[in-house]
Amino acid sequence: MGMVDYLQVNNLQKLYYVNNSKIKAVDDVTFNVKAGEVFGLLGPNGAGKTSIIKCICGLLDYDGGDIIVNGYSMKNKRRKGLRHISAVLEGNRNIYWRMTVKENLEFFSGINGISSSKVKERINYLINQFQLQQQKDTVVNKLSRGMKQKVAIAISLIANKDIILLDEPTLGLDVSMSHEMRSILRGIAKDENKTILLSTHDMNVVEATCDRLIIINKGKIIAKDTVDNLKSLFNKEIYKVTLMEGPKNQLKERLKKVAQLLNYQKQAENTSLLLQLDNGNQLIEIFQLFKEEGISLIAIEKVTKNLEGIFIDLLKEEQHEILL
Amino acid sequence: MKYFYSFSAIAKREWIELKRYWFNSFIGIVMYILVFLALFTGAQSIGQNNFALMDSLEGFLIGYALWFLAIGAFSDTAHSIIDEARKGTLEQLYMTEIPFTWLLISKNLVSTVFFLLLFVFIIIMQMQITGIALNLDLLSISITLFISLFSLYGIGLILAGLGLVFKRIQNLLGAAQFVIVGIMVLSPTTIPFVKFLPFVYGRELIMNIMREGYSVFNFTIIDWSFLIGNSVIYMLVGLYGYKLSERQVLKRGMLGQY
Repeated sequence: MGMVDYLQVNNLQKLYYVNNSKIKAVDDVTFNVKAGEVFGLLGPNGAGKTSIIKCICGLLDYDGGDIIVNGYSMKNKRRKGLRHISAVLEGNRNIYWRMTVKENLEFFSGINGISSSKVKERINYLINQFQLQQQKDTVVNKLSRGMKQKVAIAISLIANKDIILLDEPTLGLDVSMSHEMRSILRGIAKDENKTILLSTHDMNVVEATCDRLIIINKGKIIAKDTVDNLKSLFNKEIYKVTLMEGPKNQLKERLKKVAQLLNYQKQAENTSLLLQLDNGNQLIEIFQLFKEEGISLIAIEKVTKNLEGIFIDLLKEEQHEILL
Repeated sequence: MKYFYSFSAIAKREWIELKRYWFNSFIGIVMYILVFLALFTGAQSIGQNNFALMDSLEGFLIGYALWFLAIGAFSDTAHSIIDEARKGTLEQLYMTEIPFTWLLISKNLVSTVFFLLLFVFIIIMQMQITGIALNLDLLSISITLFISLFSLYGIGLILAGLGLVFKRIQNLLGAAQFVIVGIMVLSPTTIPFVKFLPFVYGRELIMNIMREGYSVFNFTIIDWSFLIGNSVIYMLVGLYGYKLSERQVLKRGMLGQY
């Protein structure tokens, strides 16, 4: 039996009116997130990620389509939908900076209608889980950015809701804290069995944490798949070839007939070429060409694209389509 | 019970903030007492019949304390919502299954208790300073003040809504303070229609309690009707006004922007 769709976003549209002109911030976006899944919303700044997140958590009215949270439409049954959602919006601003970590956890459980006696164990569990034992009685204002982000995420878990929305959870964090945050996110999904939807422009976060993702640009989905599928789909046969000396123009032309020359860099001691092939067998033809031209080969390596490369390719492709 | 737990959480937060930032509140009260002393000394030297605010020393004393309280009551709602929006926590309050309106009313209820205690404290201080004796019928004062403050919270809600939409409303908040001075001066016995204004009828009843020994047990049906009706209507108008602003804010996605 397949997993249940906890969150369905169907043909979502959000318009903004700026100086009498209509801007489509979210344009016909459709996706679904299954229970226990970590789902990524990837896109450059201004792509519409935050608008989508805010529409899901009922902080932004949408103009078209619908959002269904565990069976409840966020248009008509917003409050019932909110029983299943908690969110950390950009910049960990869901915390009272003048209250301590523990006071914040107590406050947010209270305003969600949970009694302080019932939540005691959960607070202690989260404080231990997020390694905040030493900071629990510290006023949030005195914590580092990374610590504040940890507290913000702990708060989003206090009411034990099913879906956690995270808007740019690693923004502004240093490398080690960003790594720690990724393992925290994986832990939440695994140990707490939560469904996570996270928006980010950091490909490494998606690659390390997400099962599936959509890539959006200018409010539209430009790719939707599992992280692994996207990587294999976009990882064509790309090879970096390092030669003793640069190929003459004639060879370049012959090479272009066999493969796509993506990059050409001439350095003092060698020259490197980035070639994209349709299949690995074309390498034989290329070696033959080098032999005929008397060019010495130093090294050849297969280049594997990470998500960042795929992302850039997709944006370029989209730009190209617009120009056409 | 969910509503009770959320009310408790709001009350605890208010207590924590008051405790942690007591110095700011303390300075506010000291400044108030100093300004009162200056005004009172000035008023005494001019003569009892020339008070700008009220027509007697007792009236001046009560009127000034109520004005201080009224300013606090309406700006408390407006400032707290705008402050939450500025900090970003307003969005979180909107994301609970408990209606935001309830969280707001909880905050008002807690503030009212605080304002009641503050009012009694400053009135006693003023009585000590001036040597004027007033009828401190705490039950009658508390009930009347408790009910009538909600009319001012209603006005605060409208201002808060405007604050969320237009962002900068400091001048409007400043102007509202002068309107409240007017509310403190206008008497429904001389200008009857002013009893429809927010807080006016409650203020008049408190004046009567403290000066004439009037009591909640002597309140007529008309007294109760005006007192409760005025607060309910202004609170409802305030909530409606706030909801209108909220609709705009949710449409434009401005809840977390300030």
